[in-house]
Amino acid sequence: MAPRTIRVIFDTNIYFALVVFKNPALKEFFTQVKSSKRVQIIYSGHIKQELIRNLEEKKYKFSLKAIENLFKGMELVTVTLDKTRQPQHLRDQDDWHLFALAHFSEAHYLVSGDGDILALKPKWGKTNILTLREFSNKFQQLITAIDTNTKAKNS
Amino acid sequence: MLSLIPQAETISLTDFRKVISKTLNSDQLQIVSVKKGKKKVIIDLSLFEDMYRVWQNQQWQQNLEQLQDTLAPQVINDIGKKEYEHINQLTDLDAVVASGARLMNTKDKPNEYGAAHN
Repeated sequence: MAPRTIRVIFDTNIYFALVVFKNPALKEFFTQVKSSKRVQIIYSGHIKQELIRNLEEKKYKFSLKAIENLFKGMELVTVTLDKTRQPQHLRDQDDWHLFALAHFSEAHYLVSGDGDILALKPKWGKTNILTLREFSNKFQQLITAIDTNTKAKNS
Repeated sequence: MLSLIPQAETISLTDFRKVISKTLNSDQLQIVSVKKGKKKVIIDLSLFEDMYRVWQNQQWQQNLEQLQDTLAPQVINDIGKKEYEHINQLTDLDAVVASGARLMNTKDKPNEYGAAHN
């Protein structure tokens, strides 16, 4: 059965591409997702800080307020990591925060362009791992399924 | 309605609901009541939610465009205008993200981007 809301996490590389380029396809799709009341975008302080760090490492000048505003309207989930329980099979141990976030936020989708994350497709626990293209291909279908389900419940 | 929005700019949707509920209970709005001398008015708060969402998304898009404008010359400086424009024309979202990842992973060496890309 389709959930009432899609809970989705976008990896830092998605936000990075969104802000450094002016690609209409990416902007339009992300705006569509963000505007949908059927979608809850989840992020963590780690994702936001990683975006800031990546921009700073490029020595780009930008306003921190603009980054804060970028995450406005999204759901901040704080995860405390217990290092003793860190899974050892991750290709990049730094990615653990993302999987912990997916687990604790009960995200349906984790969208990334990072090969280390995508290596764990199709799922981490209950969270589906997809590329942005795969998620965009599936998106309209998911929204239609939720709308149909909601209408059936209300009638 | 829209005149209320600027003051509500920094509040959450939950707080926005409270503000609206409080406003509806205020003396100013009781003038619309008439059943037995009072008129009952039902307002679907989802209407306000939708309006708030539209407004919030407009603000979000404006912020994104300003951020992109700020970063554009700096990114062009790194990868060149031709490559920047090429990436902006891509329709494959994974290719855009991959271009971002390449840029993210080439630090302090602008020429590395081109080398990695070629």
